[in-house]
Amino acid sequence: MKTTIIISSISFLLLFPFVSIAQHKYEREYRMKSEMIPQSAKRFIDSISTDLKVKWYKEIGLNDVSFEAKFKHKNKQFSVEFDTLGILQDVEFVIKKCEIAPKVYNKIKGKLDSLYQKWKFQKIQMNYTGSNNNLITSIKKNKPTDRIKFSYEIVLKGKALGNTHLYEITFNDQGEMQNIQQIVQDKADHLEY
Amino acid sequence: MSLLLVLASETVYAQMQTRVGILPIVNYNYKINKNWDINFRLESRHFVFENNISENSNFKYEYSLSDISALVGRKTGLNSKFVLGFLTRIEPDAVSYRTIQQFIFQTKIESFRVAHRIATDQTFSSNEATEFRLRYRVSAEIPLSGQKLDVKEFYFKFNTEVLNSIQDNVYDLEFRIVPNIGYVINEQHKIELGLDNRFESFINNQTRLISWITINWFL
Repeated sequence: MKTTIIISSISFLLLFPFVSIAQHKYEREYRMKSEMIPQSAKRFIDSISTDLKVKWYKEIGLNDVSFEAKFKHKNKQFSVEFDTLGILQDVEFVIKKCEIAPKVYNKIKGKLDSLYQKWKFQKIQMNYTGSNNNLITSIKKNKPTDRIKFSYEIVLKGKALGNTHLYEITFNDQGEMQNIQQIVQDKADHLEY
Repeated sequence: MSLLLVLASETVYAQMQTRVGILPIVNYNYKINKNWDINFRLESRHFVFENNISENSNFKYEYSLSDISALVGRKTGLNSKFVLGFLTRIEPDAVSYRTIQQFIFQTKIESFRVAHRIATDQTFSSNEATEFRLRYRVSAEIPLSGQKLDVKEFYFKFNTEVLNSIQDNVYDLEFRIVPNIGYVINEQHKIELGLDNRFESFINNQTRLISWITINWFL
């Protein structure tokens, strides 16, 4: 019986050889201690509020490395990205759909209706770019100042031609679509089987 | 937490019939196209320890069985699939067969993914009545570095499952609690080390525990 099992095991492995990986996409992120973060990045976060509970992450992409601060402020989940020198890249925070101006929302809705048979928001983020001082004022006031450039980054479930996928779509402050990409979902074999 | 688990296990081991074994598993997953995938699984069970209430506990090797199964999954939505499959169980003195039906769906809570599995199966053998089971399993994956699981990172996976069975008009209930530590070797391979605790025969009040030390290789 033991021999049968060993033979079965070997046959099993031989029948289904390893599938080679076509292209290795190198992307990682992991938690960092705040001592490892550039001072200028920490100063920016402290200038929003000194009471924030900040989690720092390092993100390593194929071509760049960045630091990201995640925290909750005024009941909103923020994500602030810096480069390795601590220079601010952008500020993002999660909003509800009712926080989008009705005129802009209608324009976004019209575009999504034209792209998908069915769609549903998964996450809406507002993205701010601008000078540090303007960004801090906007975050504190919970409203973008005139000199802030903002856009909406939307993750949604969309059904087109009978197939449902996750998409990340960027709309500018007027509700015009700027960018769209399909999100490749991570493998979940080890959770399913 | 670990101390609590150890203390709890010691209490459990002292009070009920317990068996401990080793359970190596190989899981091969192949994506046929965007909607269909297939899973081949091979597992083999080996008892190494037994603790009877009336007798002394002892270390004793005993081969138990081997399972070979094939499951075919069809996506039914963005995060859900329906699965049909067949399993062959080879024991030293018998062979049995199982048909399997599953519905699996995934959700995400903050930075960890959760998969729910509702399944039914029917086990046929020549010397026993057919056994019918209805089971529900929930599995959660928690990355141990960062918010998302990446290559060359460890993760914690926790499965818990309740199984209802009926055989020869006798109903029984089983619970499984399975903590695992996993490692993503590369985009194709993962390895998990876990402790698959199965609390069997709850209804008859003769609960016994079988703990499998699992080594699960996903490729």
